[in-house]
Amino acid sequence: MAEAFERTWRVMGLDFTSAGRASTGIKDALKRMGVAPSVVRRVATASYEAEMNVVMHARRGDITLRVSPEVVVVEASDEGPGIPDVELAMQVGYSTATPEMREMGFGAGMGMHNMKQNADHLHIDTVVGKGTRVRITVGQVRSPR
Amino acid sequence: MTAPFHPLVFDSTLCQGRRSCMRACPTQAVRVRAGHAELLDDRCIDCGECIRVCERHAIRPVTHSLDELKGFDRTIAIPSVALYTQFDALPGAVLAALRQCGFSSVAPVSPACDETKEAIEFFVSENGDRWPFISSDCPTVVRLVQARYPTLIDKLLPLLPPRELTARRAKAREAAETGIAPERIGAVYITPCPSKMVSIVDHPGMRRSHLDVAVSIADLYPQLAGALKHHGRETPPPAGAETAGGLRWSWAGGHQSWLSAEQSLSVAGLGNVIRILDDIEEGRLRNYAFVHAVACVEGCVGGVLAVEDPYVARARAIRLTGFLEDASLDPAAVRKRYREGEYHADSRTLPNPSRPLDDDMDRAIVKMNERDRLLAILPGIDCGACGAPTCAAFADDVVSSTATPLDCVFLHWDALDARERRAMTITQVLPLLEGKLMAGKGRAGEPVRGGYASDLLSDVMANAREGDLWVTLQRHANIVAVAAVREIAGIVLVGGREPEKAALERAEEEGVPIVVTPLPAFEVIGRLHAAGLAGRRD
Repeated sequence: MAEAFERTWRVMGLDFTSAGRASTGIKDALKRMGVAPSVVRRVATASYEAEMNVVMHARRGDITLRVSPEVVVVEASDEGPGIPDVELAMQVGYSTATPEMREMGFGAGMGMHNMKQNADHLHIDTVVGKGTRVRITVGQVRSPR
Repeated sequence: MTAPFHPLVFDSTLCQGRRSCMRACPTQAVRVRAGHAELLDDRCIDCGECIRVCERHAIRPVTHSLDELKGFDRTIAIPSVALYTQFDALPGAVLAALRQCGFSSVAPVSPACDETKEAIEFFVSENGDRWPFISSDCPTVVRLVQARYPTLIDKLLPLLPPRELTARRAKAREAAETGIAPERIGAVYITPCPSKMVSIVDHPGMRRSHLDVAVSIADLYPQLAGALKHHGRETPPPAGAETAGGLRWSWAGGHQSWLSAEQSLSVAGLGNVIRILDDIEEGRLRNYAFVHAVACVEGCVGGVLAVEDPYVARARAIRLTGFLEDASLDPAAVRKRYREGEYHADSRTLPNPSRPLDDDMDRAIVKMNERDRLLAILPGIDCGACGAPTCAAFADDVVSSTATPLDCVFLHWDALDARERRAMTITQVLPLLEGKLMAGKGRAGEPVRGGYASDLLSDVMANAREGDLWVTLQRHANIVAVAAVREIAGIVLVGGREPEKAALERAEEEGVPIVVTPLPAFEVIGRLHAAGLAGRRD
């Protein structure tokens, strides 16, 4: 089996100054490995939403990127409040962002939707009071040449 | 990536390898090797920051000289609006002075600027589902998107920059008035930066630029200053010349008055532009219709080829907008021309992405892992002594085989595991030993893991190890047999001794690299050891 690449970024809750670093790092790594531009863009968008969910809601979390020539997986696992109703959270317009976050332009209720739109497969494991693990999978990784 | 033209030349006779250019480069396109700065062609996007910072003036911007004008029957000067900010004079006087520099006519860009502004508004409102669009008048920004943000290529505004529109119209008018064939008429941009050269020599998005020549503001400055002194500075601009709206294109943020404040965003300076492009690529800023991005922090008034201090120039530009009239545009007429395609670029801009670590994705993943492992043991202080701007850039170079781990002054040989030590190859040994490869080219890329020196064949049979580089003065065919049996990485013949014919033939047959060096054995071994090859393996 071909070698896979893996790297993890630590994300701290409410650290808005560093927010987005993981997603930018993920994008940079994907470009270096020659992943198809359309995949880079989809993964970057989905991972940014996942990263911001950790920043806004959790104490801290880890974003892990795994790349093989077949598939890109981004996994965001956090120590946070968990999602009581996943189906409700997936609905466009539903948001639990605080007024402060809304002032910064977050809370459109599009985050989970954007993840789903850009992923080939979205898997969410969540335990209320403990944390959430979101796994974003995108296939067809190779650049057409 | 096709071989790119870059409007700058590194002069190695002046370069002292001080690394200021390497540190200033926003795309990490400079390396210092063997004491001199070198440009990595596929990373440079022609911003010219290196030209600004070199104390030795060892990096020369490339623009056309006025001699280029001789190749045309008539020439039209098309000054960047930044030109007017270089003198304490009114635009009309600068235009008059320009005429005295030998141009047949002068075509101001303001009318095109004012119409383009309207065209941009039409375009972004028609394409609300694709916001935000990124301006395409700064060639360096276009190059940046092509190289580093290929996914954003469709967000580049597909409209002509005002200078191109001006050139096309002026040439057509001149041809109609004089009866001279358009190809005998030269459109000459008076440019504040060398990156406009790129758009003339190789314009992305257009098969051929409407401009033919780019002359530097700095080159014309003495002549213009002389003419202004002679003829006065107070000439008002002729009708239909520069406008307040045109001048607003000259400084960063001058466009901010466009569109509604919530819909447009202005960003200047490549580091800032990169941040904003990252945001756009990650799906943000969709509520902005238009992002105006320029490479120079102060905008075109701060171009590398401008003479005046950029902040003085900007203050003048702002003052000039007070003197100048606003354009009297007929929006209906502009809309009609917009519908007819007057403002649209002739063809699409195509991506030209920087190369990944390897064209083969499996190998790129392997290299990415090697890179991360190396990065973990590098000091992370970005000292630049190795000749790369950052430890991360250095790690890229090592896994791409353009540097070896031991180029890092902090990295001790002992800290490297076997995998990283394998970074040295015969190919990398050659320059070190001033040597030439006589045979076994096919295996010159394989790793060298250590060294052994001896002129007694049975000693080598007993003590040399697989992957060693064997240093000897023997030149007969038997050395190849010994090397092949011991799986030696290559043979180095010292003191300029060339292998016998039979040895050469055998070496080609067996695929054993033979290097001939003019250096004596003591020097050879010393250099190899200093470069990280050990004689002992634990």
